[in-house]
Amino acid sequence: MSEKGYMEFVCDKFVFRVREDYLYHQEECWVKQEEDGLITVGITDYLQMTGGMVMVAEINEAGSEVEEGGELGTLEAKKPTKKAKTIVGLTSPVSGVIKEVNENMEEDPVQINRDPYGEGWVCKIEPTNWIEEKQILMDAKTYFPQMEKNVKMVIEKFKEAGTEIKFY
Amino acid sequence: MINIINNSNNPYFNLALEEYLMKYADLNDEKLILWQNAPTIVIGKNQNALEEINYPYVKENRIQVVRRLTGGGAVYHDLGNLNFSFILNRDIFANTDFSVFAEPIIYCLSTLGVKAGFNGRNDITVEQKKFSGNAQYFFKNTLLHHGTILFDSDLSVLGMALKPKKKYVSKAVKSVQSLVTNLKPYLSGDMNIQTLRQLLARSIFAYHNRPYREYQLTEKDINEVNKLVAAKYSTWEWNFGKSPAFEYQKELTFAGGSLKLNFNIRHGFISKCKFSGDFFEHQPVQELEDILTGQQYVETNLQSLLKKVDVSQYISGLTSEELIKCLF
Repeated sequence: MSEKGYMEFVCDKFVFRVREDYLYHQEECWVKQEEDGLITVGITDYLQMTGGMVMVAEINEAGSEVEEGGELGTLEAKKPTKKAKTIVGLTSPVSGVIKEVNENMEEDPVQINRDPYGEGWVCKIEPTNWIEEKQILMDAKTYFPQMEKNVKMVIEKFKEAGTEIKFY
Repeated sequence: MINIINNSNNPYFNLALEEYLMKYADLNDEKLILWQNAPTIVIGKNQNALEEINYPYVKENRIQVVRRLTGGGAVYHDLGNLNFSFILNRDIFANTDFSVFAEPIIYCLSTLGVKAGFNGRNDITVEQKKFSGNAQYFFKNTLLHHGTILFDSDLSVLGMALKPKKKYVSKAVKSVQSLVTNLKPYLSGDMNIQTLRQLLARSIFAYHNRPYREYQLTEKDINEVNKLVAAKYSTWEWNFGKSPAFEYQKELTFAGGSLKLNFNIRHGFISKCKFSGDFFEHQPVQELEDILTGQQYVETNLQSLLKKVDVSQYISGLTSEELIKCLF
């Protein structure tokens, strides 16, 4: 692991980070296996930077079941480009039962933007099919080039439209 | 792209159809739906229904209330309003501008002699007055973008059915009305909403350079949508119970004095209840607070509960009926 613990893609004044010791799901969320067997889930730096400032986080209640690829909850975010707000659905990286939802998000949803890999974690899930589903997750090294490609694609779009490049 | 023909005016069905087409239907094409609701308040994904609506008015006028998948504020729909929904595949959403969706509508109106514009946020306007509000929802690589078009909606109902924001209390209706307009006065006299609907569909396809195609919902589609209506869109849990925690406050004067009530409502249940003010208690009012705490915040429920309680024992001079009236 590097000194910082993150891989970084720098673009202009924006830094997109990927935490090295987490696993990543295709749909822009991260996974960390805790010692007690629970899986902590959060969103990637890419998702929060492109999605914008989170105004409301609405996550399915503790006790509810989720499926890998299903919707875990939603964020209502202010787009970086416009004042308009958008709802973004969050994808669950694993199947299981939600055991805990980060309660601080009700008071302070912007912590998802401030610290997406730490304080801004979303929920903890007791997995029901972990061994199998773990196989489809990516490590940081595999996820990083995918993110880099996506960031470049977004920048291309900004350039095509002739608008200022903006992320949160 | 396909134009999904939907002639239902049932708001539960119409909003369930969007979710069905977005998440469950086996149709790869990009989709357009033009649709209308019977009188309904449509609230944003993260709003408190009871905080937004003027409950007594809505009930008396049989206006339905339904929550949508997208964010933003509450809007009033009636048959003078035309809605459009796009369901599209989008790899990235960072710069999926709202204006892309406004352009074909602005273009269509320009062919009818109306000079409309996009206000840079999420409204389409004519002479700086809004006639269309827009909102979006992303899930995976699918985008739902929908909006309203006020054609000849009853704007006075709009003002009354939505609760005025506190800062507008003194001139609520005026403030709301000065910001929005119907399109009809700007169009030639023989234009009606059904003609506009057809013209708009053709314009949107032409704008995107796609051959015009229609899709009729199959029996299977309709059955699946109705399942979603029963499980979600017609339920109290989705439309009212899903509200984030909020506070309800009310003050009233009655024969026995004055009363201030303060409720906290969480997931549709009363989590805290406090009565204060200038009144006489035969028994501690705290007992009444305990009766109400934990109850589902639904009028019929509280009505049947308070029927069995002698409210005047706790708040002298106040009847159960008077109390019920000011709880919503």
